[in-house]
This record gives sequence, C-alpha cells and structure tokens, in this order.
Amino acid sequence: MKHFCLTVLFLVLLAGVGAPRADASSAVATSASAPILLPSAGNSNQLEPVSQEPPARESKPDPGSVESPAMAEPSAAEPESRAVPAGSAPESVAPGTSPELPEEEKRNWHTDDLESDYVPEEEGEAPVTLYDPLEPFNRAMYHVNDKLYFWLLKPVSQTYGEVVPEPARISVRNFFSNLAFPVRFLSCLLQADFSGAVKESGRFVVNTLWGVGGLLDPSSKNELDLPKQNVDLGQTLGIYGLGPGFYIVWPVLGPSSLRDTVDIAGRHFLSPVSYLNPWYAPMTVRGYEAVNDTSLRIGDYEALKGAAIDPYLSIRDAFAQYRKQKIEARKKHLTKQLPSGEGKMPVSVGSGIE
Amino acid sequence: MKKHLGIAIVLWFVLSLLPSPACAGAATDTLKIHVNKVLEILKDPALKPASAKEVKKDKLRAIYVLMFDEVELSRRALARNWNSLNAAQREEFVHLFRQVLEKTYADRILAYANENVIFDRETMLSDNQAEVTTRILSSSKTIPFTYRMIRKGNTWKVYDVVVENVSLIQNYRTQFNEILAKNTPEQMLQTLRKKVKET
Repeated sequence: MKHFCLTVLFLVLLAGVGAPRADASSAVATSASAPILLPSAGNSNQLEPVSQEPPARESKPDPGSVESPAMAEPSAAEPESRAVPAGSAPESVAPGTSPELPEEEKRNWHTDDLESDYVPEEEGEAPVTLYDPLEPFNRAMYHVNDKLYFWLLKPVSQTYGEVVPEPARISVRNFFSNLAFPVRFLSCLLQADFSGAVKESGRFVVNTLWGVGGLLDPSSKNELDLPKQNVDLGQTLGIYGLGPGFYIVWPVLGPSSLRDTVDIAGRHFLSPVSYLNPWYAPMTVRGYEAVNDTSLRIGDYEALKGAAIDPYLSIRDAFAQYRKQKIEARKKHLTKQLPSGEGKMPVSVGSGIE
Repeated sequence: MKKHLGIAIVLWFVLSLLPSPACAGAATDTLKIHVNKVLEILKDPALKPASAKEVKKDKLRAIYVLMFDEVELSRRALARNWNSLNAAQREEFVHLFRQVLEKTYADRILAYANENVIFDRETMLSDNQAEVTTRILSSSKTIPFTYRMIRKGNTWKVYDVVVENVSLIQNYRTQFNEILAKNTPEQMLQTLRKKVKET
C-alpha cells in the first residue's frame, strides 16, 4: 500500500511537471514558468546569455546591468511571445534578434493579439456609472479640495507625521474609529444584522476597557477575532435598494452622492465629537482626525491623481465602484449569514428594532 | 508491485487527459512567482541605496512584462473604443498606457519595503479567467489586492488589478469612454503622449 501511494504520488508529480499536453509549444505555462523566468530575468542583467542562474544571484547588482536595461527588455520578453518550448528557451533567442529591433519593447505580445477586437463579456462587470448632473459644480469643488489637500492638509500631515511616530498615529486612528462605534452599531441593527451589532458592541467594550479607551484594538487580534464591521448608513440605504442618486463633491468633505450624504449627516449626529463644547471644539477635533488619517496614507491620493488621465473622472469612478462594492459585499455577507430558507435579508427589520 | 505500477500508469493517463485539473491554482502559482520576485528585489539589501533605483525599476519592468498582459489590459481599458483604433494606434496606445502606469506606480512600489503579501484564494471566473485575492499587510494597514488573470495558451497573465474594491481597468474605461465621447482617438493619444512627457 505504501508502495502504491508512493508510485501514484511520483507519477502525479511527473504528470504535473512534465505537462504532457499536446501543445507543448506553449508550455511556458504555469509549472514551467519558473525555469523560464529565471534565465530571462538573468538576461536582463547581463548581456551575454547566461541561463539557469540561481534566483538569488540575479538580484545582486551587476556592474554591467546599468547600461543595458534597454537591451534586456526584448530578451526578457522573447520567450513569452515566441512561446519557445520550455527548457531550452532564452539563450538561443535573445541576443541574436534583439539589437535589430528599433524599439526594444515591441515584442512583448503577439501582433495578432493586437489585431483582435474587443468583445464585451456577457456577465462581465457592468460599468458602474454615477449620474453627474452637477458636473461643473463638482469639478469646481474637486479643484477646491485638491488645493486644500496640497496646500494645507498634506504639508500639515507630513510635518505631523515626522514628529509623531507611526504606532502613536495608528493608536489615534484606532481611538477615533472606536468612537465611531454608534454609526456601525446602528447600521448593523438597521441591516437586521444582529450578530454584527453584538460583535460591534463587544468590540466597543473590549477596546474601550482593555484597549485603553480605544487606543489599541485588541478585538481584532487573533484570540478574539472581532474585526470591525464594514458598515455605514449610506450602505444601509443601498442595501434597502436606494440608488446613489447623483454624484456630489462637497467642499472639504469630498466625493459623495445624494444617498451617501445621508451618511455624512448621520455620522455627524452619531459622533460624540459633535457634542463637544465650546463650539469650535468639534471642528478642531475633526481637523486633527483628518490630519492623523492623512499622515498614514500620504501618497494614495497623489497616486490616484497621477495615474489618471482625467483625475476628476477617475475619482468619481473610484468612488462609484467603491460604494457599489461595499454594498454588494455586505449583501453577500448578509445572505450568507442567514440560515437557508429564511428568505431575503432585511425583511424583519421593522420588528427587529423594537 | 507490477499491479501497483499498472494502476499508477492508468491514473497518470486519466489525470493527464482531464481538462486541466493541475491548473487549479495555477494562476495563483504563476502570480506567486512574480510577486515573490518583486518582493525579493524590493528587499534586496544590495539594492537599497537610492542610486540603485533605476536598476530596480528595470528589474521590475522585466517582471511586469511577464506578469501583465499588456494588450489585454489596454483592450479592456478602452473596451468598445479599442475597435475604432487602427493597428498603429493600438500599438502606440499599449506603449503609452504602460508608461502612464509605470510613471505613477513604479515609485509607489519602490516605496514598499516591509510589506507582506498573503494569497487568500483563487476563483475561476470562466474557463480561462481567474481571480486571485491577496492582501498586502503593512504596519499601519491591510490593503485588499485582487488580481484578475487570463490564460492564453498555457500562460497566466494579469489583465486587471482591483485595489480596495476599485478595478483599475474599469476606472480607466470610464475615463476613456468620456474622453473618447468628445475626442478622436488621435486626440486621446496626444493627451497620453503629453501625460507621459510631463514630469
């Protein structure tokens, strides 16, 4: 029996590695891509094609490598596009062909591939569109917020980040996140997600008591495993079937939609910070929270903006996608939670709150 | 022993005839190789000094070319508009699009150092498309990072990246849709050329 198992194991392995499929030509594939990768990446460092280098070596800087990145390009790509049979590939192809190419990177793909048209996928992601009747206003607000970020929020956050060490800033973020517990608790209740509501309450108690007033987040650790419920009020409305309405960019507060503006309002009323005295205290605290948050993700906005052809459109789309996903993920989560046969999710909400 | 061998051989045949059971998780395997290589470069102490930045970029580019299906990426970003581009325009677009991505993300990626990548699961979207869910763990946050991959021949390549629930390709699709609703493909390419050139 042991022999049998061993033989089977061996042969299965053999079958996996040998990839005995008919089209051996395209065997660059999965199991074989490791051997391909190593030599080709090796070539990118050295002009003379030394193949089969151990992976550790090629990450060392080679003196010759700096001058020759362009030459390396096609040789790295060649085995791919030509679909050379696995083992012997790169050294035979690389140096001969590459110098003749006027533009080195040209051969990363099959030319036929370039010719094939786009065919929409049936089930494929339906484009997330967000109605934007206020576009001129929104664009103006986008520019205001953009300037606000680069002229005020970013420099302040950067300086703050240099002074305050990261762990402390993470603790501050935890503290504010813990303080936002009422929104999440209410959202869970409104979504008839009682186990979520219980978990949120548990988190709040544990993090407030053991987590030094919410500075630490012991609930998320493995022992308790009570991660923050990913809920908000706008999402709750979305789960009830309310569409986003249209896109609004609020000054200071940023991208939102008609529906998610309800969330902004809800957050305001449910946050203890809003009830601080004197009148300017809530604003100050919010400002500090924004600075702290921003200090932990400087560069995100810059990347989003930099990668965009039209940053306004890019951000609008990112917002639309993000909100839609958040609602859908939650819907899935809620249906999964229900024991089978209990029907659709937030049916019994009305009675649930009483 | 002979009998065992016989069974084993039969099994082996059956296994090799099945459509591709060995490919379950193949996308993840391919991805892992690429990601590990990227991490290796990022964590390589020999490449730490700022002067090695270009070297690192070149190495990353070599991986990028193998990891991503650039044509698929471009085609999907343009969606229907792809069909109204001629071959030369398509080729130029693929080039420009890569440069746009590289300009923004190369420095971003190089800034990563102590992050860990966790591969969560792989879901098949269709016969030749898979979605690999990963998380990037850093000290201050966890970023959900999903790769959509397509198999052509036997090679799995990435054609879309979903970060924090936002699909990169879809984001570009929205932009190009609106831009091309008002402009010709040539004007759009001109915008891209300008974007690539600006510092």
